[in-house]
Amino acid sequence: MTGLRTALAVAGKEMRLALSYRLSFAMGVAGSFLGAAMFYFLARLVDPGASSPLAMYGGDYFSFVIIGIAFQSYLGLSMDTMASSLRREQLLGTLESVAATGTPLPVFAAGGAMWQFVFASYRVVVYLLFGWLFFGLSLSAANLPASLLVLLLSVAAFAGVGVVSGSFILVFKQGDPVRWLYGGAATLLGGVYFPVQMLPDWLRPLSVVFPITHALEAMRKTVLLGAGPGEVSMQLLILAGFTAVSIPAGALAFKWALRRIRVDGTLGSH
Amino acid sequence: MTTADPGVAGSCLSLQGVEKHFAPRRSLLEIAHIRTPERLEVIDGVDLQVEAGAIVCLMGPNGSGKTTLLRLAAGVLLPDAGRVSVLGRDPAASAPARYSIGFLSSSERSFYWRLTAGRNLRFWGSLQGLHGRRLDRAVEEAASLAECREVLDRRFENISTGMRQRVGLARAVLHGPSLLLLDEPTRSMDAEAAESFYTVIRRLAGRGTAVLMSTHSASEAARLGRRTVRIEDGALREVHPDRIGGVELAIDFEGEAEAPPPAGMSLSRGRLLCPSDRLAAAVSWLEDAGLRILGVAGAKGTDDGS
Repeated sequence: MTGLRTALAVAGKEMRLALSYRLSFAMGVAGSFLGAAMFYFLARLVDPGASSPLAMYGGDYFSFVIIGIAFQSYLGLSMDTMASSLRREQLLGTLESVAATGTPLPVFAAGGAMWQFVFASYRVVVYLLFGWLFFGLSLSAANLPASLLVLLLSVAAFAGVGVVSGSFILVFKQGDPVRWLYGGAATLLGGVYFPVQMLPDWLRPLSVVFPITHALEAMRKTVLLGAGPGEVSMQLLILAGFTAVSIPAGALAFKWALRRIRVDGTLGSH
Repeated sequence: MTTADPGVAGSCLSLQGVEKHFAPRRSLLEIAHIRTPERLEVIDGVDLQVEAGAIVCLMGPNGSGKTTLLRLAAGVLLPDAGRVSVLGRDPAASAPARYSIGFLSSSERSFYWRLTAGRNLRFWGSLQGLHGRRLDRAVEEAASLAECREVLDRRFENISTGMRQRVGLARAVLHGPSLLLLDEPTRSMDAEAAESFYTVIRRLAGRGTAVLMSTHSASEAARLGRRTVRIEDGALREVHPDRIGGVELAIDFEGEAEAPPPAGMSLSRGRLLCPSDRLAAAVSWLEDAGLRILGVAGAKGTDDGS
């Protein structure tokens, strides 16, 4: 209960800080509209019949890419939010004072994540709303309970990776290889902008090591084709496996990192 | 190892044989254990006890380890050796121990500048486990005590440096800590503000709060500190109340001193520190002990000219 109250207090602080930069907030919303518009016009170049990999997701590139982008913002966030939250406190100069209060840093970072998820949900809704209102996006076939299950399991799998990433940031401050690998390479190989079936044969096997590949496939099937949990059971199983490995790995990495910076005295350094 | 206090059971803050060294950024040769990394010695076997209701001023030249000592006491830094305990618990490992500490950092950047002072205090209070009416009351009381109520509705970035220090004090006392750790708290205050700050500190100590406060000002230590300790070359020693702000001499010598120095003097690594008016007695003691005098100089940092 105390942990939840603390996390809510951090989320409230994050919201107030974000809203204190009003122009940036408004530009974020406008950016969602511009992104949706850009992919709508790009989608008109893609002939549905010409792309067989796209056919297995309903054949419409705009729907395919909008789900990819919207969902990637969630997954990217669950991976990035802990590192970015701790990094921001390091740069502001407040991290050592937070630690001095006895607040567990994972609880503090979780509070930051709460606000980030609220804001990301808002952006996803804006994306989907613009897509539906202006660009003909149809979500009538969506299986919402199954989509929610995929979302929760994917967020859990990515959160473990995010804690490992946060541990790197605590110790090395910048240059996080986990973020580079899962943020950069996964965008290319995970099927955000195009189906992974379009990758060359020699590169395609690499895509299966990224949880985003399985998460996106399951999400597109549940949202665009109305698939139920049974039809995406393989992807759910893989995501559960990633979660079982990434969460304990994250906990161990964070414990090591916290001890290391307390010995080095670099908790407040950036 | 040097001892600033023989040690008292039931101390609010206790440091026993605490050592802390920092290694500068290591080269690849050092990481590969081909070359031994250089160690920067900061604190070398320090003992210190601070009892409930005590005000202890911590002095020492720049870079001598004052802030490091306070960070060790606050539990945000781990010692290489020795033991730190607050109310009998290790503050680095025990959340209740850290909840009983109020820490005023020397950095203004430890606040959220885009939020008001009041919002900041509410946020930091909630991290200390205060919520609802308890939090409202705590913010009100702490702001009154630190005399910063008039800036609670102003953004932190828009208040003066001295007032930020007061908000920092309000944050440190918000949750009613048993131990206050203050890192140069009056450095940006004018004389009047500093005077009212001393009153607040004395009042808190009167209620039983233990205070450990770093300062560069000998006059401040003389006025406020019922006890003053000085850290230099990694060692901590007690400063006699009569000597704070006075002139102190350092006599370097060669050889091993076996007997304790005369009262009011202290030994620190081939150096005898003594009041200037007792130079003759110090020289006589060194000669009697068979120690060769290498030179005499004024000890650093015991007075600030005020």
